[in-house]
Amino acid sequence: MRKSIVFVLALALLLFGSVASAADKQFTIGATIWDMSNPFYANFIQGLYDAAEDFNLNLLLRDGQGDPNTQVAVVRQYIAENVDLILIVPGDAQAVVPVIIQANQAGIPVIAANNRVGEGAEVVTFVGADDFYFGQQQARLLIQAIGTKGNVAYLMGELGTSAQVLRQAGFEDVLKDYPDIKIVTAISDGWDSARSLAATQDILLKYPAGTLDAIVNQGPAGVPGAKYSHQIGRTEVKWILGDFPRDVKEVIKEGIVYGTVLQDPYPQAYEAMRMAELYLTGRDDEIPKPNYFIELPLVTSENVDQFEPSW
Amino acid sequence: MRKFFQTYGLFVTFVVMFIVLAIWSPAFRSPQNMLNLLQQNAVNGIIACGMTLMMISGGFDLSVGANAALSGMVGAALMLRFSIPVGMLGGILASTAVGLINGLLIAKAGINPFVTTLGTQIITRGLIYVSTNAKPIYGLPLSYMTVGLGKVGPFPVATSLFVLVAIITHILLKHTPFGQYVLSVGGNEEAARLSGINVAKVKTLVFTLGGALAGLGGLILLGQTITGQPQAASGYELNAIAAVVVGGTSLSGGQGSITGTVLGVLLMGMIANALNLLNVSPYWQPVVTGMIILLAVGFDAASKKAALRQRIRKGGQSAKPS
Repeated sequence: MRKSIVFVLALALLLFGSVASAADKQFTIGATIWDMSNPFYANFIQGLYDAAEDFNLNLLLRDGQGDPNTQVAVVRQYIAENVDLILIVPGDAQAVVPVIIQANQAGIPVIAANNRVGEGAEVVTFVGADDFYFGQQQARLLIQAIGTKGNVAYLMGELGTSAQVLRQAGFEDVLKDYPDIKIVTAISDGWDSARSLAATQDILLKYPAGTLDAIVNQGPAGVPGAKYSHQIGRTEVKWILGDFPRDVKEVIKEGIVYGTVLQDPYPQAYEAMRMAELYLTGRDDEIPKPNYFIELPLVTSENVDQFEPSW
Repeated sequence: MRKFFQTYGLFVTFVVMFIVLAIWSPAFRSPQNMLNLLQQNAVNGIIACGMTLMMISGGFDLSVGANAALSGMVGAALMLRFSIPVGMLGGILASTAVGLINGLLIAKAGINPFVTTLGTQIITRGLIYVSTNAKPIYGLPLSYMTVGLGKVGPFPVATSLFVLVAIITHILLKHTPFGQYVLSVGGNEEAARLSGINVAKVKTLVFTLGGALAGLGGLILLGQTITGQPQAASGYELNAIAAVVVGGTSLSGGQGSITGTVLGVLLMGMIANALNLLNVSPYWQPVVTGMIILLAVGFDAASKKAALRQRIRKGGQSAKPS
């Protein structure tokens, strides 16, 4: 047992020794992403690190592990550590409100990025895509693809996330002027490609050739589904996706997917860090408030080569 | 010396790690962080206390995470319609009912605890999705956040509940006949039956209590977000089982203690806290946590083997004619 304690200590030394370095006179940003295992955030994380280096900020980054309560614990921890600013990508806008209120009370400024923080708590600003506008852009792309008449299946992301709710609202907002476009079914794939494929198979079974004109997916998880529908010969079904990772770029080039709305996570992270720097150095008046939206271009086979994939 | 480490090994490991971390990191030893540490681990602690009893009785419960979510969702729905106390009561009742069903299926129908609680876990999660379309429940009174994040006087509510639950379950296990029954049912079910213990009743009660404590955990989680989350507490059953095992409770039942579990919960929590404070990459953290579980259980197995060998050797000597 004595040996084992020594072993645990040695392990601890090995793990912590390399990272325990003191940073003086540097602002500390406590950043947290609701689910870092989601590939969407890989480039976002890169953006955080790059900006931290460019603006000489000390970046702490901790994972919400897809669990709102874990993210609440992370923010509590940042409050306890008295970081200079909290940068949060919440999974659920409302669920972080109580703990952001506590950060407000502790006098720690908060910037929201990519996903919003709900009503009731104060944030310096929100840096990200306007998800409502994202949904509108998807609807415009849909009309470009099938015209003003048709049956559409709608695949949504994780229910209740602000991206899912607002994209749907924006999508429906445009379509209310086109009564001949009917959403025949709406299913959640939870941003997960396996679930998305299963949902696609079900939809294609339920709506045989001639009864479905397009499938719109709120995110990029629909790629395997699009490939599947292409494979079984349902090429009459036009696919609209959201976001622009490498696999989406390929399927657009191959003509399997009609188009997507480009939301690049990298500039969101980088700009959020730049806003943090502006705030902490007293240049609060240069920050766009309450929202700082990054542009969301439409990508189709015609212009696909102009854009670099987001991740 | 060996005996000392066998009994107090976990405690010594905990204290040594605590001291090292306190010397190392000023952020770690700050009073605010200590309070945080207790608050963050309160939910896992409460669920793990129930899990300890279930595991000592020879079973375990995979449905506690889903059950905590159920309590939170039922609680949230009732709070919106009626009041906070009604919601809390309803939440606890719902999860207690699931615990009771677990207990009856295991004790009366004789279904293995793994299968039973895996089944109820999936069913519970499914029913939550069916009844809410997997949408979170918003709009709870902000005052309810006191339960998750607030204090009553100088005492954080969640931490106080954890301490209370730990004391009650400890007394239940060590100082009541019921506790003795739980230990003997887990140690040797047949012997317990022959000595007149109502095994089915003991098991049913233990799982009902486990369900109720999961429900209490779910209500605290709800207080942290004041949002009823259908996906809340997924995977929490494994965190609880890990803490209980690290705390020295035997997976095969009959052995274990609440003190060990409390130490297990705090040790796991302390490690997660330290990894964060020392800015270890989130991608590395699960690796470290998994290694610590293996180490803890490995020590336990090794020390038991050593003790057994010693006993055999001694037994052999005394058997010789003198």
